[in-house]
Amino acid sequence: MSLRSEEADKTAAAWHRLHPAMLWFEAGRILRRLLVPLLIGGFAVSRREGGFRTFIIVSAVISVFGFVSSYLSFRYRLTADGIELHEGVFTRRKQHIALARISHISTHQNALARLIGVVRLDIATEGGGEREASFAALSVGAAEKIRLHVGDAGSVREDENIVYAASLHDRVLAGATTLQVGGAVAMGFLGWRYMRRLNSADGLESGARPEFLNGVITFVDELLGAISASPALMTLSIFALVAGIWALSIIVSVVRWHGFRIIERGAELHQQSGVLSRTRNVIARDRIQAVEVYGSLVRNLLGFAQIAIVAAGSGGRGRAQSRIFILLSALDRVSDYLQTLWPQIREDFDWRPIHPYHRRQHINRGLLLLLPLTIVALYVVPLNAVTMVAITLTTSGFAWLIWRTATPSFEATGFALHDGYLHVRTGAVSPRRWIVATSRIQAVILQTSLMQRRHGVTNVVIDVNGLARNQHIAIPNVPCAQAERMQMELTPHHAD
Amino acid sequence: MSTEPGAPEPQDRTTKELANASFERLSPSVRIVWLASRVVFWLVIVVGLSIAHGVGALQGGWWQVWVFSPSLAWLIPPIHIALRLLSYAGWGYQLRQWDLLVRRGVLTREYIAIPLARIQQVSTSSSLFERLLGLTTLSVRTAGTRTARTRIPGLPSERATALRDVLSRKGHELAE
Repeated sequence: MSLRSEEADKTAAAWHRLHPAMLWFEAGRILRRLLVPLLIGGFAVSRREGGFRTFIIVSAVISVFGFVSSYLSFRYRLTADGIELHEGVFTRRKQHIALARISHISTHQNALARLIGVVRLDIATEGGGEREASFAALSVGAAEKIRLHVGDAGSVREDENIVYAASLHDRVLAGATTLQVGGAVAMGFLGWRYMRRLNSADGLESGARPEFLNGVITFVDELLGAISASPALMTLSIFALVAGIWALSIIVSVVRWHGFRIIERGAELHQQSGVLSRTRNVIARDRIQAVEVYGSLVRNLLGFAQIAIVAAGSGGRGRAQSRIFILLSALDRVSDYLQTLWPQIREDFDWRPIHPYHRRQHINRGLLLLLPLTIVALYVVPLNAVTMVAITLTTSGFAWLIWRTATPSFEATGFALHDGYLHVRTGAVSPRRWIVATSRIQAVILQTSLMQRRHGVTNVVIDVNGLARNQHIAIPNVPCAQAERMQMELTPHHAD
Repeated sequence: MSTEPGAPEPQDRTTKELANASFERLSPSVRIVWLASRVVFWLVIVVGLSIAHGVGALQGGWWQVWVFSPSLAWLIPPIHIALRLLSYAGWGYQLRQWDLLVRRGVLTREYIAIPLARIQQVSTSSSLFERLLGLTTLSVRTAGTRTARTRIPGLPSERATALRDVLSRKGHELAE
């Protein structure tokens, strides 16, 4: 008898509750969720306003009632063919998740949870998405029981192999070549300036804020005033700011990806990461729908790319941490990693080119973007001989760049249908490659604009389960006859 | 429609231009539904803004210039309504041996091939207004992301029901 069925027999009739620590974590989660509205409310509205106080009290009461009733009503049990859940006070919800539908499970454990010995466990299914069911707090033992029940128990803990572990070098490089932290800092700064403007527009007295906050704001204002008075100081400050953000980005990456590793256990891939908050995802290899290999301009120049997995049931959110497979891979090692996911994949094929109209489309789109930006610049910048020359040179420079990158972009774009996999590559500046298991394709869409119709070309868009909102698998500018042939070829005649 | 047993295999129909393929069209009455829904939409907005303007809630707002001045803003509702009506020309569908091909869009045209073997759920629905005109909307769900729910509006009710049953049956057969 397999371990899974033994486990199911033992616990067949036993209903389990969540760990009581759930109450504490839910309170923390709700507090975190309310933090931003509370801060904004605190800045925008005077603390003496009765409405704001009432809002806080009502929110707190509703939240406490919500998570206490959720804890008291939540029950689960492992059945022979799945997991059964009961929850709800006013509206009773009974759910049965069949084992066959579960695409992967993930556990999440922050520092406090590690001290107490509890984890949060999420179950993803193909139809229900990333959180078909979420167990807010379970003891480590209970979570392991669920994981063993869901996974193929016989293969776990044997045949273990670390496929990838993010080294310090990888983490530093990943941080040094991303703009995410810089963007967040810039947004934070703009948000702060906006809030200040709102406060001053509402005539809010500075006395309504704590004294220390007034001091900080005055100091920042004086500092900005002093910096903007001197061009040299301003240049130096901009350099210091960029360097600071860059360093911050590296630090965040080093901490965020600490302990990131991919472990191969039989038919499963286990992804672990996190220092303060430890996450573990289990992805069944046969649930992988597509693989994305992408690199920014800088990463491409340095010869690195990131590899992400699209697994069934994991769509919806952006390119989340849960889908990263290889944080940073040398370009010549990408094939090895692909073979880890799909051992039968071969790359001895020739890329098929797309239609040369792609070059013209690249130039048209670039110029269409450049035109309004130039018009805005002419309106915003005070016009004199120097600024006119600067705008002309900048516009010409960008136009030249657009024209210059058209041919490389065309040459770098192509596709191949080989041995049950569709390979798509796009872009020269920011190259991206998709590998899709054709047996996983859900639908094929041909998308044609007016201009494309004139040139007899169309985009071939591939739809698979688990794509995020910002992910599109598309082969641009394929001749119509060829595209229709592909649509026919890629349409499955039977479900797998 | 190429659902007959003697219909050519999809692999053989390779070079035929999609634009020339014979698509079934939506019922012309669907344009009345679209026109009515867009008119109601704009009436609600205009009446709402007028009331807000009347009670003085919009005084001094920068966007008041756009909404209540005789500017190009007044062209937005007719264009919005006209675009919806023009989209009728783009709509079409074709049930083939292995897939349901849906065509839609005017400026950007889409041909969505939904494999019958991938269909998870087929459903029909009718609003009150649609029922008055004998129309039904067919919804096809797959496990895909972009085609999670593909709708074909404005089908005659009998056609929609027949199509729903055929898709459900064929999807079930191919999934086995």
